Amino acid sequence: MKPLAQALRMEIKLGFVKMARYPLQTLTSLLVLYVLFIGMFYGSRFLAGVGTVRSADLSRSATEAIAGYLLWFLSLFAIDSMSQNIAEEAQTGTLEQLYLSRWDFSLVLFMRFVAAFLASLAMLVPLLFLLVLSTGASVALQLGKTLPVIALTTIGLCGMGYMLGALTLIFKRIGNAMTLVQFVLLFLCLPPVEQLPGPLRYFALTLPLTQGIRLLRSIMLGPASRVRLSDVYFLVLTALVYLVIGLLVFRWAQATARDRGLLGHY
Amino acid sequence: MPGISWLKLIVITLSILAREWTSYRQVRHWLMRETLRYPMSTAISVRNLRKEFGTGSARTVAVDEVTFALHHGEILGFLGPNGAGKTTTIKMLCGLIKPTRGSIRIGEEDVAVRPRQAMLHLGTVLEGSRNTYWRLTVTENLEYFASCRGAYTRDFSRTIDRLLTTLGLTSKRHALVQTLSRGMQQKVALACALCTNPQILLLDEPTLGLDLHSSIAIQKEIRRLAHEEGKAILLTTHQMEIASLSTHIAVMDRGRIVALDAVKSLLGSFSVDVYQIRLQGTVPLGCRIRLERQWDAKIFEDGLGTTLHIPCGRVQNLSSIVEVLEHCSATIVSLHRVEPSLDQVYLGLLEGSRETLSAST
Repeated sequence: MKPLAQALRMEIKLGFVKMARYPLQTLTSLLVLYVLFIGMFYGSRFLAGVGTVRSADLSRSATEAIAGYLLWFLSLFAIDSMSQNIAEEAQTGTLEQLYLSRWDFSLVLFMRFVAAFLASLAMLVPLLFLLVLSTGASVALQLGKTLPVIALTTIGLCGMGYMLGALTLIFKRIGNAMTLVQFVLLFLCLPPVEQLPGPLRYFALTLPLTQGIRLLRSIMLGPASRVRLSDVYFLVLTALVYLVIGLLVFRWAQATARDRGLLGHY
Repeated sequence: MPGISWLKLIVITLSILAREWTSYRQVRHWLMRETLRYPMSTAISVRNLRKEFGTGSARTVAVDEVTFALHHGEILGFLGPNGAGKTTTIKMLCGLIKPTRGSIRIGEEDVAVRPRQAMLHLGTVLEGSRNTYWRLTVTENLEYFASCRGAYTRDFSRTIDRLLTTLGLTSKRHALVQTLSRGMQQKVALACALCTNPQILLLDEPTLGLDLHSSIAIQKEIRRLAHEEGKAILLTTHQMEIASLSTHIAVMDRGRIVALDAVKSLLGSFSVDVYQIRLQGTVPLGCRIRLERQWDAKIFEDGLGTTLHIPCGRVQNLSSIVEVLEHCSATIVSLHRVEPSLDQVYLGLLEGSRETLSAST
């Protein structure tokens, strides 16, 4: 096996080892995600007035909500993952060792990201089934279409992850900034873009998550809903732009941290 | 019978081939070992290294014009007070801090030009860091760090076995690192640093916080790695017993190397040049006055006996002093020339450099 593939395999293995070694933490995360969604979904139905909504519309809104929620969860994970990794490594004193690895640290982080992403997907599948069962949503999974959309969206989010990782390298504790980004994403990307006021609508459209959610909703609603090719192109474009910008910012931060002697300090 | 002769021929041919194969493997093994032991004459070469932090009035010079070389089989001990620039120097060698100026070569590689290739020669245990993942087992840590450095192979389990046996960790191979003692954890960190068989080791305070037993085990291993495996080892420490492992010592103070030499030369240059004579009981007053006047002796009484320090330069004939002492009825317990300890050398060098610095300013 090639060294890079071997390193990726090892990262994936360790990702699952860590998950399995702390089963309570994994189960609690799953439970929290489930309870949060159910609370939000039924809470909003109650506020909207149940009797006024037709059951077909309810199923449609549940499907849309599930699609948005799952991608939001993935985006949180994607954005969090890198900076959390850097902070944890710096805190536990292993960051320096990763800088001595054969590959550039941004690549090591990406491998970590892939490993953690796969571990999250493994958690996401049971969550999806639980949500579908609880809400009665009809979900057309269409893995051939959903997985590429998720992957492309995640690549764009990975770019955002690199940007926040860059901040962590220099400022170390960026918990509040992270929360802010998470909420901005939640409020801009979860509701349909058309419902947002003018300038915010355009801003939301440039976020890597928005386009992913729109496409995923269309796919999950089944054949009745049409996926536009232009939306796919736009998703690819935003994903690549975010990734490139993220990598450039991360490299700049690394050089700055090296110059100021910040690597490994926490 | 022609059948038997053919069989004989095949057996003889096979045995010759097996013998040749064995000797070929032995020669190959020897060649590989020697190539690994001494692949390059200079392991680390550092020239005019300088690191400044901050700008303007907040500018601090952490490392100033540091130059040294480390060869295979040598142990270079970096000594110095806190903030002397030892760790900054090590971090610059690892590429974790970018020098303001100066050059670093690890083996044949310039760290500024080909950092990643340069790092492949290194194994490091850094100060204050765990260096390993506590939530993973010893074996998982070794596998992870080997794969991180692109050195994980199918038969890596053999390397693991060898390392664990050498470091006395075999029984702990499946234990989570967080459950191990501090000494064991440090051994695991050392094993991880060695898992790619690097020819250069950078050890920042390798025995800090370890109990005596663990410290001795790590010291033994460091010595073995340098002397038997020909590894070049750079270590920083505050502990003199660790520094005494070194073949060479560099004393750092305020970012500068104030002394760099072989341990023997440093000890020699700091010889206090004094005869120390231990006597039973006290020295009579007349004898005391004569010793002080004639040989400039320093006399210390401690209740159990008396110690005389007589500068060697004042002694033309040692027997004359002995005669005087015998005349005073003093019983000599021991007589020897005082050898300076590494602590004295270190403190002397620091004091000397600070005096020079204050004189120049």
